[in-house]
Amino acid sequence: MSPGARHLALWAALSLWWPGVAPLSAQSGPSAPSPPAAPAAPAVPKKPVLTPPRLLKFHEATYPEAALAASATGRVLLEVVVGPDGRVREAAVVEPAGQGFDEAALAAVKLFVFEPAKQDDKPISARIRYPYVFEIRAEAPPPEPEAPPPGKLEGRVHALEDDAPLPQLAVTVSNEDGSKVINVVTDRDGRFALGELEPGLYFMHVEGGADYEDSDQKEWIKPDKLTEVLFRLDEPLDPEAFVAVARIAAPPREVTRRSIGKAQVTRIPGTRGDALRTVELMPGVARPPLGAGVLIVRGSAPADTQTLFEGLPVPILYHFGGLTSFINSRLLEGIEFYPGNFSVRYGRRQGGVVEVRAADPATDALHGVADANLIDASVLAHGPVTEDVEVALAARRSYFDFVFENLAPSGISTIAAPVYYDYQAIVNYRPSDQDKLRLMVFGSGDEFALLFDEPSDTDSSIAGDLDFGTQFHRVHGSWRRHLSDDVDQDVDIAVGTINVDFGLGEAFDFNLSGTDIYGRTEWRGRLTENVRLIGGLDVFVFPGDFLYSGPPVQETEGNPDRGPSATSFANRDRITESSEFTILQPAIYLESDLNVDPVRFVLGSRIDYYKEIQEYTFDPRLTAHYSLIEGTTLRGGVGMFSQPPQFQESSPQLGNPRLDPTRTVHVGAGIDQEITETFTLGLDGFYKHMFERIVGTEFGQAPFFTNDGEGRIYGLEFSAKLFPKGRFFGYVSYTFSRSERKERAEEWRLFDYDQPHILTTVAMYRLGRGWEAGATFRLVSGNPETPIIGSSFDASTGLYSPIYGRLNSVRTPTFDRLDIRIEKLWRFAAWKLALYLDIQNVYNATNAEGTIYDFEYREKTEIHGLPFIPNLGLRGEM
Amino acid sequence: MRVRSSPLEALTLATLVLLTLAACDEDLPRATEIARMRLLGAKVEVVGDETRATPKPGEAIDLSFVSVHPTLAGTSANAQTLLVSCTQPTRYTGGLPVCQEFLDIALGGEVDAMGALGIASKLRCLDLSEGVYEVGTVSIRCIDGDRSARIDVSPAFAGAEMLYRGVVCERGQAYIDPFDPSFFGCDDNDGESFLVHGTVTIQHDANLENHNPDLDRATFYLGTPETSALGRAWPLLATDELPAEHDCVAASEAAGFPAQRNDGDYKITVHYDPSARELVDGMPEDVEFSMFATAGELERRFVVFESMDELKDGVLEGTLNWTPPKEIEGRIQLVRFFFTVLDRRGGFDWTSRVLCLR
Repeated sequence: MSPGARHLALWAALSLWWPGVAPLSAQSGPSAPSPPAAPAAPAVPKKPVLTPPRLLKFHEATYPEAALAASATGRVLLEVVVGPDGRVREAAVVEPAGQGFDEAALAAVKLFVFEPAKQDDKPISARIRYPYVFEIRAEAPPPEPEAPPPGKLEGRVHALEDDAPLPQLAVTVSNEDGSKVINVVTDRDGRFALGELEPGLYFMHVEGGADYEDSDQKEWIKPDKLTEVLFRLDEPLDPEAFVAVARIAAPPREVTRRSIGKAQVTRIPGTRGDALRTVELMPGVARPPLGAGVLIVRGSAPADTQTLFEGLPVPILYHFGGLTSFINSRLLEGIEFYPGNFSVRYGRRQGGVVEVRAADPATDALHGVADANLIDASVLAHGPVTEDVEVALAARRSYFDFVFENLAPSGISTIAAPVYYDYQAIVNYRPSDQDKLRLMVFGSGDEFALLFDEPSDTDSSIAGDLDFGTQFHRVHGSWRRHLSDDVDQDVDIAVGTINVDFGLGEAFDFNLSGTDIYGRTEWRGRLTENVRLIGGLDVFVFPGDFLYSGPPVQETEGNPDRGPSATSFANRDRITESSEFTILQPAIYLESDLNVDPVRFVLGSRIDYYKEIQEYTFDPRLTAHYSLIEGTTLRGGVGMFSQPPQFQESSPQLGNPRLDPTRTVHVGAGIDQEITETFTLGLDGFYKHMFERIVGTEFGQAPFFTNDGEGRIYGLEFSAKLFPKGRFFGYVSYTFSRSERKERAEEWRLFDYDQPHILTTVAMYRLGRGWEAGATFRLVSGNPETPIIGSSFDASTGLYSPIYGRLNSVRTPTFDRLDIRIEKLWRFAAWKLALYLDIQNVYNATNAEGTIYDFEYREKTEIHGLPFIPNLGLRGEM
Repeated sequence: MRVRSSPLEALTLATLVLLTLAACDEDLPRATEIARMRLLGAKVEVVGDETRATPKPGEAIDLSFVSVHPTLAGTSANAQTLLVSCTQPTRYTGGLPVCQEFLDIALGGEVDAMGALGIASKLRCLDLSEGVYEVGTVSIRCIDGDRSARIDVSPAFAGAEMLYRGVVCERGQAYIDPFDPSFFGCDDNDGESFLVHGTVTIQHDANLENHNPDLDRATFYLGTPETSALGRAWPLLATDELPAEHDCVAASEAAGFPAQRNDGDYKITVHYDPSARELVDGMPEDVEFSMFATAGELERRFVVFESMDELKDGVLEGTLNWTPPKEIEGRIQLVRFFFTVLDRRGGFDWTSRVLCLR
């Protein structure tokens, strides 16, 4: 390797730094669109004096008959939003108990009446957690025939992590029927005391505020006795979320839905705290190739999976092909991932869907996060502006460009050193209790440009400028309206610009620019207790223009002539095309949710129109959920999924405008088994068959692309998850799958990214005193490759062209990698400081990412993945 | 149609380029090193107008391959070459080019395109009567030894370019086989074999006329570690006067270019007469020099003079370094340098130089 190439290798390795990995949490929980958000629960009092809500009127739930007959007891943890008028605005089950307890508790708590929370003396909305306990009264000690002497209650509240007493925390103690509620605050030693309590069962709730989780206990107060209790509060599940938003639980619509909690995803080793990178660690997601920030979901091509931000597609997910995502992870509320059989709310894709939701800015005070590491720095600030308006602002920029010139190899001049940036702004406005308006402005940009003084030894056309630039900017307005108790409406409109520019000397030039416009409106309503309906319209419009100059466009999958040892540009023809175009893709969908206990059916259909190919598609989809026994849920679904051709495939200038959309049938089934409250096992099986898959024509001749391909994919996904309770959380997943493709009458062959075995383990542990450590390990099958069996010397250029063997008939070696992360957190009165070390590829495994050949394709060597890379960072939060 | 995939495609392509450039290729042979018999190019000369590289329909060309060896003992006298000439397709076929005649048959629904052309099974040079087989505009011919192939361009040739594909067997029997993934091969070959292909532009229009570049219009300089940057003009020894190894020092000194030491980097400079470039659409054509050596390490392969490049002292100048081998073979080592030039429109020329190290 020449010194120049060595420098370039170093630069390339650095510029492609840190593809992420992360765990997931498989849930079959709700997937409702975000309803109007409730303001945050009052935090630990700082300057303003916050008083938590106090229960005034308790409503006893109806004990489920079946549970009563079985003498079953249960505890349902509810999340309740109490309005300024003391009435319950929203309620959702956080920890279900099953057996009918959840529904009974939910119905009862909606009839509670509280004395509202107060900021100083002003009533405000608040979110609290309320445990509703169902117990057979016969188990209670018999009442004293006469009024017994009162008992006493004393308690201490300490931190779980370091046993430090926690002062100024609100403690609510209520008797069994809620007729007596007492509010106290812990003293400087974390203590509280109550005297003269009537004997009986009492419920105690400690508000952990922003730094700790809430905690609940119940105790029997005995006559003339002192009862002592100790609360040990853990750090919150999501300590970095500035406000958790109460969400109405809706029945699951998808066969498989996987959620990621932000508290975990920003800490997963190897991800640099990037939430989106954690999706790559989910069951069914293949390992992306080095430097390519793509999602390969259940054997589908990267372009088959769509990522949506607040319900609308995002044009560019990652900086520099996978370095880090376009959005500040601490601005996210969460990520939902649907690897297949997804709702008709999502269309134009046949693989999977990733839905990213933005969090609401804080309502209590100004908060901020600043983060700096070896590659970029970011800031985030959010807080209230007025009583009804909150704002969040975030920005990030890399600073690799400051040192790039010193690392650039000889023979290469730097025109624009690699740099990326992104920004986000969110404004929330609540004009009424029924309406929530949100305006988001966000964007992202990447740029670099180099000048090669002389051509590459293996391709004389790679000379001159190598420039790459992407930018997008978007304004997204949304209106969430609560039309009635049973009907909600969402309206989203987004307008933005996209520009993509890539040039490679005389060999290749591509520029695409345009205005992307999205519109979406959706209505969700409940017809009866057991029937819900969702209907909506969405439209995508993209007027744009492009310039393409390079080799004739070929298929992107199953084409060996695309890798690092592909035929040189100089040995291919070159075409130049440019045009203006307009994409118009409207759609309508309707979904019904039928609850026929114990089975829930979701039946939906979607109609899409694609103006550019003048084709319609109709996609019916059905899913069902069956609660077999307590803790065991069966899931299944079948549906049709359609996807229009890619831009270059249907472009009249580059491809074939008479193509049909690709159609895929998804069949999936799964089972969840809750072993304990925090430990769950899951098993999913799936089969997908692709019809009318778009493939390149034989010998690349007109019409260049046809619908003569097929695909079939099947697999099993096993997961074992320990929910993040206490000091430890962990995750193990194993996926077995096989993804195959077929062109015309040829034999089935492996998909480019077929990875039959994917094992992922994640473990994180809080060591105490602010220390946290974790590790991620992956063991994944290598990718299929097409061997090169010879070459031909092109006498017209003096370069060799490869001759390929059977398509995808060999495989790169198995991939294995261990990443670790260590963080130390210091807490101060008004802020926190974290120092973290994220080490990727701890034992420096030399994983093969591909094969590269010499100039005449006789000898070969492996392209290795990223080596041992440490990343040190510092983060401050207030 | 989804525009979102386009950024993805561009990103993927950019990544591939970076991966290629960043790959660990330290252990792979370098394109600039001549370690065994190599083909460096092919020269097309129109019969009767030898400087022209663009035949008109009805004319004939001499197509000669430039094969070189790391030592003077190497020879292509026993080589056998089998060539298929046909019509270059108008659209890139992906991978190696396929004759338009085959495409027409295959896309017409015929499964066995080769069979339709009468090549149903393996065909060796021995099987060809007088070494030539012709079917319509497709011709197959064999060439023994290091000679040129004379190819007639049919007066009815309508394609923009003529395509040739074939195989060069250093010491064996060349064949074409429709069932071989490479289509061509060598039997009984104990030497090197090369598949080869290329195109010849057919001069349907006077604007397409192109002449081979002339390396007589180039001057090569070798700057030794002790001399100035430009060094001395590097004389050409006629091919048949190249010194045998044992005469290296004497022959070099006789040519006024004494043997050199193998310590320090040498600087190779090429000066090219700007007036030697033809005009294309009113602009000087690009010329692309490639440099090869049988020992040591050249800094890079290419020196390209583009149409807009500025002149230096009235000439086009390109420079690169050559690092001699750390240890020389024997007391004296002769190192051969080969220089080729392409005008990127089908024109080609080549030359060589020698250097004695001690």
